Amino acid sequence: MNLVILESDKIKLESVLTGFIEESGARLAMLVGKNGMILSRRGDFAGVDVQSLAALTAGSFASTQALASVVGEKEFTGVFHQGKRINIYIALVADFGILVAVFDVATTIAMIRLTARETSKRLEPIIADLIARSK
Amino acid sequence: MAQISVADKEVTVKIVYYGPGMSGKTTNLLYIHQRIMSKNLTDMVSIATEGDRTLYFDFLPLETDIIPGFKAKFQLYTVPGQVQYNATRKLVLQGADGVVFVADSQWSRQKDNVDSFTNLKENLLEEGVKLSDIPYILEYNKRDLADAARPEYMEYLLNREEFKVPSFEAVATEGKGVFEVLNYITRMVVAKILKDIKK
Ligand SMILES: Nc1nc2c(ncn2[C@@H]2O[C@H](COP(=O)(O)OP(=O)(O)OP(=O)(O)O)[C@@H](O)[C@H]2O)c(=O)[nH]1
Ligand SMILES: [Mg+2]
Repeated sequence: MNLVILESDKIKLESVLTGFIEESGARLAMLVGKNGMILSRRGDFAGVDVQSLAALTAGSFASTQALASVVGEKEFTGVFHQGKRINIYIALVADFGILVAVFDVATTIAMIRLTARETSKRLEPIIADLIARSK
Repeated sequence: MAQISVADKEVTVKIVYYGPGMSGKTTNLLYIHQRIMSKNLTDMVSIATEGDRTLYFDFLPLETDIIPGFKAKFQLYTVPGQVQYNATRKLVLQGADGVVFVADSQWSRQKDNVDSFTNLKENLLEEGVKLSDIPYILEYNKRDLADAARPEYMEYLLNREEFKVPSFEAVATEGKGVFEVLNYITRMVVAKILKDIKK
């Protein structure tokens, strides 16, 4: 099965991501499949190796889910990577992959976590529709 | 599962190099990376242990114009071949559109090749995918070594599914066969996508 993205899907996904960036103050946001492919992205990507970011966050989140099952948890819905200047938050997008948000430390993690979770919920039906149509 | 963006005129495809530990998977990607670096400003990402054994994966993104009117992005991955890393191997294999099975030609490694090939089929099946449903080819690597088994023998061991697949002899350290393999698998994957689209 291939995932087919039409102009209308692109617009819908991008508007949700743009809304997320405006609300949360994230520097960039992207939607990445379990397979490490980028479905949509918005924000400031200057100096960022986008594809590596996607492959590594997808890999990192996949290990996180494996970790959940090791300790008897169904799934972890979010992971936070803390740095000195930059933080990364990864939120689960059910049945598809992850939402990756990169932000400066000025943004509070509580804010990011809250908006990311809401954004995931908004993305899920759009993706479900896209997947159903691709089948 | 390839991603086809009609909106951006872009196709993204995942190709996984699979095979037993030390067969030369990472060496294939390193050679490709070296040769294309000047044209393509992308980096290769490797998650490896100190001894250079792959711990999680290698990742190398490429861009080509193989499909007219579309930008084709090929994402090459290698799995960790060591037996004990099956959990991570499965994660890397998720959603693969094509597989290159890199076998080690040395006599002493033939059982490991067969075990790894069986493991590939099992891991795909767990995801509900039959090996015969995705494009794959065989690379018989390390042909430079004195104790390399004859290709006919490796064919007998590894190319015994219902439909025979193309196989290539290679010396990845010298780059021999590396691009033949890459070109062939990308063509197979693209042909399959075009066929799927027409359906
Ligand atoms: N003689 C010879 N050595 C090779 C060849 N290809 C790879 N090697 C060597 O074999 C060793 C293992 O190669 P890797 O590419 O790291 O093997 P791998 O399949 O990625 O191994 P894992 O990451 O453990 O799964 C290295 O020392 C390579 O230099 C070859 O064609 N001939
Ligand atoms: Mg390796």
